[in-house]
Amino acid sequence: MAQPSDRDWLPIIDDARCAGCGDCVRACPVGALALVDGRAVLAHPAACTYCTVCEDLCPQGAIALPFLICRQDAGGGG
Amino acid sequence: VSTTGFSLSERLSRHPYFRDLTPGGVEMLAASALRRRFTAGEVLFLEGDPSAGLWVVERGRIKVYKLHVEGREHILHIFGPGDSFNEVAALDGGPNPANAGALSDAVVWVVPADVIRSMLARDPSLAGAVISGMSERMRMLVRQIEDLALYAVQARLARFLIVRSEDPALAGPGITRAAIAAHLATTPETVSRALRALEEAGAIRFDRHRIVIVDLDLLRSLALL
Repeated sequence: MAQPSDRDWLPIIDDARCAGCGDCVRACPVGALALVDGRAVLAHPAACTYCTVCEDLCPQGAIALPFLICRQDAGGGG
Repeated sequence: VSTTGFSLSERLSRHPYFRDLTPGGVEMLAASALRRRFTAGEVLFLEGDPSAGLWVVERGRIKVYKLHVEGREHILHIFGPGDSFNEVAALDGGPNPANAGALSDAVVWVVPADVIRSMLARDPSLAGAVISGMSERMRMLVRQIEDLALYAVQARLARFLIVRSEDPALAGPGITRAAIAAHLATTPETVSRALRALEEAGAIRFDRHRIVIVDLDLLRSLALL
């Protein structure tokens, strides 16, 4: 299976879980998130630094940041 | 006061629980204490027996120990001159939490538990000092538990990272810290702390969405492999 490219590694927001509290929008240090129609969305994906602040503070557990585990010599897998 | 220059009052007045006590209060505690001699190998008290009180070593060395079912001894602490022990049982009136025995010929004082407890009931400042002394000890124990828990998680996490990195088929869409926590039967917060600890140790580094193993040998040793 082909590995996704760097650009595909972005926070995944579960719409069904998001309560629209806006905590993540206020906390995001690069302003990558926004509230649209009462739900958090990744409005500026290119700005995201994958800092995990949004995942850590979401009270609903609606944001997921998956990590790829790799070895230095293995080239990182994407 | 004894002939050896050891002053029980002086020792008690430096004890965290009693240091705010008035000199009169300290003298009262000291006056109630019993001075006992033990020869090397003799047992001071047994686990499960009612607590006699707070023990203070004047001379010699005392071991506090647990006995395994098969009789093997596990020493928890060794106390020397000036040290005190069995505070908790003296305060709550419960049984001795462990055994104590003399490693050498020893002279030991016992401040009776009922004297300490009746003073506690009368003297709010003593109660306050005991509460803060016990709180300090509880904080230390909680830190110890956290360290033990983190150490165990760190080793399991290190193994997990090694196994995941060995098999590209497992990489797939990646894994969240919450999912790692579920694998390791712990919390995401603990996984985050353990990841930071591994990073600070120089075994891994974060590269945006990658957890990169930079020193496999170190990670293996942290995994106790």
